[in-house]
Order: sequence, then structure tokens, then C-alpha cells
Amino acid sequence: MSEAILEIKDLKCRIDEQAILKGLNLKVNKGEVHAIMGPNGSGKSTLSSVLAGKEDYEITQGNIHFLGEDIEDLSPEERSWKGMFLAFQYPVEIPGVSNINFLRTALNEKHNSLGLPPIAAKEFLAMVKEKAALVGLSNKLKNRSVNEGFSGGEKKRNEIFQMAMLSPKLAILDETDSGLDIDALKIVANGVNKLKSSENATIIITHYQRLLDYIVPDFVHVLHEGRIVKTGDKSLALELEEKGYDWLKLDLKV
Amino acid sequence: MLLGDIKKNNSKMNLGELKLDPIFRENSENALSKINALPFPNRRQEKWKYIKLSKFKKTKFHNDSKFALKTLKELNIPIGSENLIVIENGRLNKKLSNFSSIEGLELTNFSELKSDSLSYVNQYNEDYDHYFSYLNQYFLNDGLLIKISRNTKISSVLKIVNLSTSNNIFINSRLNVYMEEGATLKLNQFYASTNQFSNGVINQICEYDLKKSASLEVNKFQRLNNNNNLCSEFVKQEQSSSFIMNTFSLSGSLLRNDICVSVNGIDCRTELNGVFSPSSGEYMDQNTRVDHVFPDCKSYENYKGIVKSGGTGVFNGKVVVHKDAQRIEAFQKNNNVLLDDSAVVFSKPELEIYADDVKCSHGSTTGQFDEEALFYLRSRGMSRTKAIQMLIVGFINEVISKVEEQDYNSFILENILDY
Repeated sequence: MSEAILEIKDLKCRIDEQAILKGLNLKVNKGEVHAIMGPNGSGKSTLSSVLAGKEDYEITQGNIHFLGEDIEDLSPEERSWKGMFLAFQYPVEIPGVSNINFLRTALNEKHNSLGLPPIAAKEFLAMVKEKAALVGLSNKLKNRSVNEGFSGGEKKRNEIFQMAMLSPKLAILDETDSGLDIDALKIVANGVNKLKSSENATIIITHYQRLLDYIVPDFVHVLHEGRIVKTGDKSLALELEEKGYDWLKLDLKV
Repeated sequence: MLLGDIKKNNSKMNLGELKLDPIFRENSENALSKINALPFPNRRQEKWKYIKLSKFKKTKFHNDSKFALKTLKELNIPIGSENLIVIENGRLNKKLSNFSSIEGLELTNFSELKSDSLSYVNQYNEDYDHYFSYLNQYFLNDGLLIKISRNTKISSVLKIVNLSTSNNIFINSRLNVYMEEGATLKLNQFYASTNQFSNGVINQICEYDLKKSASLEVNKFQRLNNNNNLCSEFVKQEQSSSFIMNTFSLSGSLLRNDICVSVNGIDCRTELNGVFSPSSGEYMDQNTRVDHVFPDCKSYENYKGIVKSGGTGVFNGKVVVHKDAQRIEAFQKNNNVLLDDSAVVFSKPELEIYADDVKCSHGSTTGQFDEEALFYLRSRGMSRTKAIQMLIVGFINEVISKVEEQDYNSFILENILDY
């Protein structure tokens, strides 16, 4: 049986006639943590949106296999049911919908897709309690409207809390470190580390090396103009931090 | 009878078997002359600009108010079984009603009104009368007077179900609620029909009279399937009284609500909230008018429209702050969501201020649900439909949360989310 959770081959995609990804290859196996770094505008957030199934992007070439299946035609919800999770860079505020109700609906939709009965109230609440503790999310926030009036740090914690509740096979963290202070960063990283297992995988998209001090990656990729131009281990991130992306551009003569 | 041609077809089927007091007959004659002097409401008139009424003009209506409903269960509305008054096709249906007397609450049919009670009815402001309220006066089937005595707090919730259960029926009914000084009441009004019946019209005038320090809360639910509802509601508030009305327009070919509140005393509170969700071919027209005549009062309005494919919604709200009505706080808000390109909404919030020390605002927004929010919900495993439903719930939450009963909450949502 294949160990690959995600396999992207020669992926090209565009939005409004503008090409963003220009032949991207990436393979993520079970138990691995991959970091994708790169300067502004290199296509990092596009990659996460395309993986999660945002319909604004058009795939013009190549393919994405998730757990062995080509997912190009799958809707965002179908990808979620299969075990894909995107922690948003900018989590959306949903006024009037409580965090708890939102999660119960999400879980039940997943159960429904798997042919399982809805989750029992008692079991659900126990799960909420356990997973909220993982990221230190206060009771108050659980009952408030989704992300409404949350601070930047609370929003990111809430993303990881949702991730814990949905226990995905592949978690994509899109700039989860942005807007976090050091303490919050540690809490969030700690949560992600606890959710790691030999059966799932994590992709961390980030500008900075800082988060990688706490979530140690197996691979670091550098994305530049829609392609992965360099791959290394965690030391690559340190080197980038020290020398900046310009070093890489010179090095690669791109 | 043809509504647009009452004079020629003056069949005198109006007062029928009911023995109403002569005062009603007098009104009836008076109304007839008004009807004949007015054009049938049409889109050239500002008041009826957004609504298509011509089908009313062409339909041959009757007003034979026989009972047809066997059991309230057919309605599928969580009304419970106590403190329940059923008005079917304009007449009190005693068999379906379940009402045992409550101390301090007096309930009388118009046909049984004694002359000393007549002063409680027909007190509404003629300035806001229109064609359909004259038709109501002319064809009046029957009415109900509810009187709450001084300083009485009615702890149970009174429920009135207004039914249209005959095809092409034109029902003219009246409700008068008279709140004596310090009286308190909560009233849930249902306007309902079943799929078995169509083209019926409930044309109703409600008068809510609040004396000093009285407090009245009305929740109004309109679920009429293929039938229609025209409601003219006249509210009069005296000093330190509180009036709250939450309107839920859930289904109906044409629903028109005209709420006119005259705030005739200081230190009053007025709250008008509503949700309307017209589906394909449905018109839902919400009109409100609040007149602040005295200083130091507060009024709040919050209407939410969720317009589905092919539906039309209207919000036309007016707040008038009269000269010398200082220190008024009046806020008016209408937010609408159009669920697709064929949904239509007209929004006209109006504010007229003749005093100089007031705090007033009005606002209106119309838009679609945010695609980014939909993507967020879908990425968490909700189907597009479920995600839209969730956003609808969030959108109307601040209005439906005003209804305390959980059953009604679910009833509202079931009807709005079913599309």
C-alpha cells in the first residue's frame, strides 16, 4: 500500500487568466511534516486554496492525488470528508452562528457522508472539552459566534481546535504563525505536534522560520514563481532566515 | 364579488347572518362611499408601488365562512393546545379553540359586544386607512375584543390562529387588544392555511391600544402557503408603555403588513422586528410607520429579508419625529440577502425629523452571501446548501432569538430553510 497522502504532479493553475502555479511537484507521505516557504506572491496561498478546492482557480495542467484519488473534480466539502483540512490564514467571521453549533454541523456532515449516525450530544461535548484543552481555548470562545470579535491569536487557536475536532489526514496550515505572539505560537505549535501521528501529514506554509522551531519539519521546500525551486531539511529554513530569499534567487540564477 | 368593482356588484353579502351592532352598519355605509371614491390600489400609487395586485381585482371572491379544518394537527404548527383561539374564515371556531377563562382577561366577539364596549373599537387613525381597510369595514365578518384589566400581568401566552380554509375566500376580520393601565400581555398570532386551499385572502385590521405603563408583545407568524394576507395594524401607545412586534413572514402568495404606531406619551419603547423570506412567485411587503409625538421615547426597527430565487421582498419603513418630540432615540435597520439573480428586494427606510435634539439613524443593505465565508464552511465539510443555511441562521439570529419559545424557533427555521 502506498504511503503517499498527497501527490502533486506538474501542477499548473491560473486565476482570471493569470498563471500562478507553473509546474509544481510535491509528494507528502504519512507521518511527514513539510514546510513550504517563499517570498510574497510566490503562490503559497494559491497552493493551499487549490488543495482545499476553491473554485476560483482553474487547473490547466497536471494533477493532485489525495489518498490515491485524483481530486480535481471534488468539491471542498468532499475533500474535507476525505480528510483534508485547511487552517485559514484569515479565518472568516460568521456572526450569529455559535462555534459549537458550527462544529457539530461540520462533524455531522462528515458522519453523514461516511454513512454514520449523528454524533451523540454527550460524546460531542466530551470531545469538545478534550480538544479545546489542547489549544487552551476558553469556554467563552466555544459558545461565541464563529471567530466574531476573536483576537488574531484566538482565531488561529480556533483553527487548530477545529482541526483537532475533525482529525484530518492532511492538515495544511496557511500562515498560521502570522499575527501570533510568542506564547500563542508555542500553544498553537504544541497543539499541532500533539495531533501529529504516523497516519497523518502536515503542510506548513510560512514566510518565517520561527514556527519551524516549534514544529520541526522533515522537509523544507522553497516556492518561487509557482514552482518548487529548492528542497532541503530544516537547515534550509535557517539558511533562508539568515540570507533572505534574494540569496536563493542569486544562487539559482532565477 | 369582484374587489375592484364593489359598487356594481354590491351584493350586500357583507353583514350576512351576523347581528353586529348598528355602529358597524354605519361604518360599513361610510366605507362603501370611500371605496367607490378610491381607485383600486395599483403600482402608480406610492403606497402600492412594488406589489402586483391586479390578480386580486380579477379574482371572483366569496365570503362564505364555513368551517373546513378537522384538526389543528393538519397545520403542522407548534401551537400547543392551551390558551388557543381559532378564527377560521373570519369566525370563531369554538370546537378547535381551547380557552378557559383567565382572570383579568376579557374576551368578546364583536357580535356579542355590548354598547358600553363599543368605544374600544374603531378608534384607529383614519389617516392611514387604505382601500383594503375600507373593504374590511364594509365586509366585516366578525371581530374579537381582548381587554386586559388594570395592572394585570397575564402570565400565560395567548395564541390566536387565523385560518383561511376555502378557495377564493375573502376574509375580513378584526382584532382589538385593549390594555388598561399597567397591563401586560404576550400574544402569538398565527396566519395559516394548508396546501389544500389556495387564493384565499385574510384581510385583517388589528388595533393595539396601550394605556399608561402597559406592555404588549406580539409575535406574528404568517405561513399561508398559496394564500394571501393583508394586515393593517394600528398601535397607540400612552406614557411609559412598551410595544414589541416581531413579524415572521414565512410563506404566502402575497403578504402585506402595514404597521402604524402612534407614540402618544413620553417614556415609551417601541420595537418592530421582522424576517421575511419570499420564495418563487411570492411577494412580501413590510410597511412600518412610527410617529413620535412626545419626547423621551425610544424606537427600534430591525428587518431582515432573505429573498429566494424568484421572490420579491419590500421594506418600507418610516419614522417621523414631530416638532417638540425631543430626545428621541430611533434606529431603523433593514438588511437583505438575495439568494440568486432572480431575487428582488425594494428597501426604502425613511426618516423625517422636525425636532432638533434627537438621536436617529436608518440604514439598509442588500447583498449576497460572502463567497469566502461559504468556502470556509465548505472546507469544514458542509455542503453548499448546508453552508447557505448556516449563513441564513446567522443572518437572522438576532431577530429570531427574540422569540423565546424553542419550538417556534425551529418552526421559523424549518420554513425559511426549506427552499
